[in-house]
Amino acid sequence: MRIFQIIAVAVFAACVSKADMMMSGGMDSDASADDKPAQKTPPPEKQKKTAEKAAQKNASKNGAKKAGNPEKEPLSPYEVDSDVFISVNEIDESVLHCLKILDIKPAKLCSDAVFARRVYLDLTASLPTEDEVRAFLADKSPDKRGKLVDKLLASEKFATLMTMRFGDMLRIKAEFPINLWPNAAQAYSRFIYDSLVRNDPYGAIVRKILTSEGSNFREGEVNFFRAMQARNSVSIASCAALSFMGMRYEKMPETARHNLAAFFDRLSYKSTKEWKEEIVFADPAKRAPFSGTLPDGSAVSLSADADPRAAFADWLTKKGNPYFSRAAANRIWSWLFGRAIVSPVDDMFADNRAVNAELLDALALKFEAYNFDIRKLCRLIVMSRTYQQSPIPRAKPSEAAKYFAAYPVRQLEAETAIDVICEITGTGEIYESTTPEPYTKFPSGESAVALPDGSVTTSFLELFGRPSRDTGLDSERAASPSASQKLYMINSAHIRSKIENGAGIRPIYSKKPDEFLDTAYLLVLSRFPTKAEREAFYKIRDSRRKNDRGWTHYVDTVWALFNSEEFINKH
Amino acid sequence: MKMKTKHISRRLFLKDAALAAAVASSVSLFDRSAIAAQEASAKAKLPSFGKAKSVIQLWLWGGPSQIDTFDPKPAAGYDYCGPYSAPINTNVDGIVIGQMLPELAKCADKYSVLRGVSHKQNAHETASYLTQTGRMPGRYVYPCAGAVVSKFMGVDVGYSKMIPPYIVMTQPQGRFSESGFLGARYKPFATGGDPARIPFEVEGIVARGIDRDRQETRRKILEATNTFGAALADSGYLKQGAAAQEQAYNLVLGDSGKVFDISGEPDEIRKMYGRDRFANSCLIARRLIEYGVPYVTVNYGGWDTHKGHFEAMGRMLPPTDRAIAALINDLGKRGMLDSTIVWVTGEFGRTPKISWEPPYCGGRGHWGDAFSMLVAGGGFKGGKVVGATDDKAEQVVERFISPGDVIGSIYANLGINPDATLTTPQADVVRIVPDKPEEGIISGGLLTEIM
Repeated sequence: MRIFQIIAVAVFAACVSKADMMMSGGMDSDASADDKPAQKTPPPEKQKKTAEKAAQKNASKNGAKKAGNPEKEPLSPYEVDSDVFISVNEIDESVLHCLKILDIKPAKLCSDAVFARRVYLDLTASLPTEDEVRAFLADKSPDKRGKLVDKLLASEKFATLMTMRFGDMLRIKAEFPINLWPNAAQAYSRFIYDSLVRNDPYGAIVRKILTSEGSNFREGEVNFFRAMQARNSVSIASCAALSFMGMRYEKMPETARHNLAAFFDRLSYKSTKEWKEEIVFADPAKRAPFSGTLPDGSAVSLSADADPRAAFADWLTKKGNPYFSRAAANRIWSWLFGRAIVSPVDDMFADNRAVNAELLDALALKFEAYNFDIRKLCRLIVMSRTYQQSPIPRAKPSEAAKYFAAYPVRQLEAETAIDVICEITGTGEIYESTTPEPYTKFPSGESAVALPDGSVTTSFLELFGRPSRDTGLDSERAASPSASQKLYMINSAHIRSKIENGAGIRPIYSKKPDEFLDTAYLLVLSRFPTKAEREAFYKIRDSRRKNDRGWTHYVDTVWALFNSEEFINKH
Repeated sequence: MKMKTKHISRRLFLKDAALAAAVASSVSLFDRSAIAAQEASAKAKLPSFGKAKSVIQLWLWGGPSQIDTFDPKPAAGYDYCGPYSAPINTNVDGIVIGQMLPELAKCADKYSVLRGVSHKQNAHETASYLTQTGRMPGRYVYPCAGAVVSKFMGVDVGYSKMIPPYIVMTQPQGRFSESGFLGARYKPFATGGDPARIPFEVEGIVARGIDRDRQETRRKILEATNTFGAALADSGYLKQGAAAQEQAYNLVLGDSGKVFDISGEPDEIRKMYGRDRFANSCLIARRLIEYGVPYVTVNYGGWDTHKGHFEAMGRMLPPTDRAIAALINDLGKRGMLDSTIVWVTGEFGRTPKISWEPPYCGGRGHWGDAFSMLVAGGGFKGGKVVGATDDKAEQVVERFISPGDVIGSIYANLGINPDATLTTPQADVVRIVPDKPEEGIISGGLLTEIM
């Protein structure tokens, strides 16, 4: 262990902390009850003022530069031309610390337009409207980024997007191999959504799930115990470890596996007279005094009346349990930043090390200090200067990406992609499932992000890598570009008819060229066109056949915007 | 104390890891030589090993009735056969099939009927999965046959055609994710569109009204305004996207898309297949195979006939009969049947005893105890029947066939060793088909009698 630590420290410079090392040794089944994992004491709360001031300073540099004045063009539409990197919060301190040691230059601050697009996508899986972009760019107030973030965090769409994220993790799906059944999948999704709308602390949500009993149709959260192929304590333990502890059950030592599963031994299932209804309950027939061992090695003794699941849930969601807060912090960071601190997020132990353990510590401690408030953690992340970096790396790209020295460019999730295409063009998709009965049909205009059931799908969603929710593994979501996807965007009748006939986009085809260009760029790319882009528009227009210089050229321009890497990627 | 326990744990862990690594490497070494040996033995035993190059899977989802199609039992009486009391002789002595399949009756020498198929599952989702993967639900979600074939005969072995190696007409399964744990790379390309319409607009590949000139102008706009690409040129982040786009343009501007265009097919061919959606899908499937696609699935629903069963059969069987017979004959005439497997199946059969009572009023329920499949070509002999059911087509009485037996036989005919393995995301090495019967399912082994 010692030797290993020294090597690790040498390799990862100071980026690897003690706590990280502790993680890999934390599964000792023979550790004594008081052998609690040591936690770094939280650094004293930063003066909020200082942080906000720094944020303002970062932002105002940018605000003054473009503020709704497309004529006075900045050097780059994507970043602010300045080397200033002012730490806003502990995220920046940990990242800067690491970058300094590794001698990696962080990226510049992203432009207002890029920031607006980015937070809309990351926090709500949608794009700002033309008016919203214009207003945001014109806004001169120094705290406008923070205000926008607060607005988005308070929106329903934030809860919807997070419900999708948790739905992937928890395998919310009616059909094979999870077989929750449509009504149960919807009830489960609804439970998550409602909890997020109320802003229930993450710890409380997980505790509720893990101790739930009742009907799969009525108590949505009991479906946690059904969303797996085999319904037994081993399967439940494996899902709990994967989802809530970022840990692979199969990699745990045998004793630890056995101990963890024992907490779920009493669970039973019974059907009712309602078709496919199932009651999940702690079986009174299995009541007995319980003595077990928690994953950190501490012993638990319970009377026959107590539910061992509650003891596990209490231990799991207690502050100071690094399995819980770090696993969640790592996941939420990766949802927003597109790259995890320990990768993959559901296999944080064994040999997988944090690229910046100090950062993971800081996030986990803040998450606990926030009482597991998901919105507060998201705010901390997106308000950091680290998150607000430009997508253009100033160091070796692979290193910049690995150590968070630029905002990573990555493809939109399948659901987000089709939703924003629909938003911009003012069109809707039909989502329905006629397998199995009862048929599931959603009203036209339903967003793909909001689909409560992973079994309801379309060719587009499959093509663009929507996860099948078979295993709950993070790796199921495949958001890498393929020729088939490009074909679909370039040439499909589906996308084409949206661009040509969508009620939301059609009106812009009758605008004057310059107005058309502004609106088209603001709608699709959330920014004004550059001078060079305007010139290209006219130059190509004038080289076309006379008949193609009007509507056809407009449509082709919008088509090109939708087919640009700038549109299909988060940046 | 703490350090000590951790020390032990780390050491144990390292030991375990070392052990696991040793085991893994020896397994893979062993596996490789074992596979080679088994491959040799499979080759020696099966004269048809590796004869096929491609598969057309006609997936009649919902579950077609075995007693009304390939396993008629006229002696069972009206409560079982309904109006179909007079099955017909085929061109092979002793093989009798349902009276609604006159065209298939004329070419029974070219296919074999599997009457002994049984998996005992009566739920659509489990049965669909089982029939196409050979696996009972368990720890992993296995890839279906199409995904495995696209891996072993397409994606992983330098398949370089423009059209993807695994095509589904027109929509993906929905029941389960076809590629299972193999992931997105092995998913089928779903054509979308409506094959009953000509031209068949395959999403992305065939588009109406955008001529080559305009495609090129569009591309010019795209390149001239690529501000983002230029800003990120040094990062390499967009390389994959640019390569994918280049590939896409080769297809858009090239003429591979013509493979989906059946308007140039001679009239007698169109007539032979019929002109409905399923017929056109079968004809396009043949064209795709000719082009070099190794696996094509035609998803053909409507067979879940709990109610109005005989009305539905009266409507669906004639075009189905015509198109399947046409496909087999057409492949035969072109000399492609030897290298193309045609596999016709649903996820299960239907209850032989008719539900006359309301609300069904002449319907059939799900039946996984016994059902029939059809296989033709690609090394499978024609003019044979494998397995038999009792006098009511309810239970298999002779030669059980599991879905894994069928899939394993298809793999063998394609030259994919049924003993080959895949690696799951959890790093477990698993076989492409089970080596022992799945729980509750009886296996009679590979279909060696017709290979």
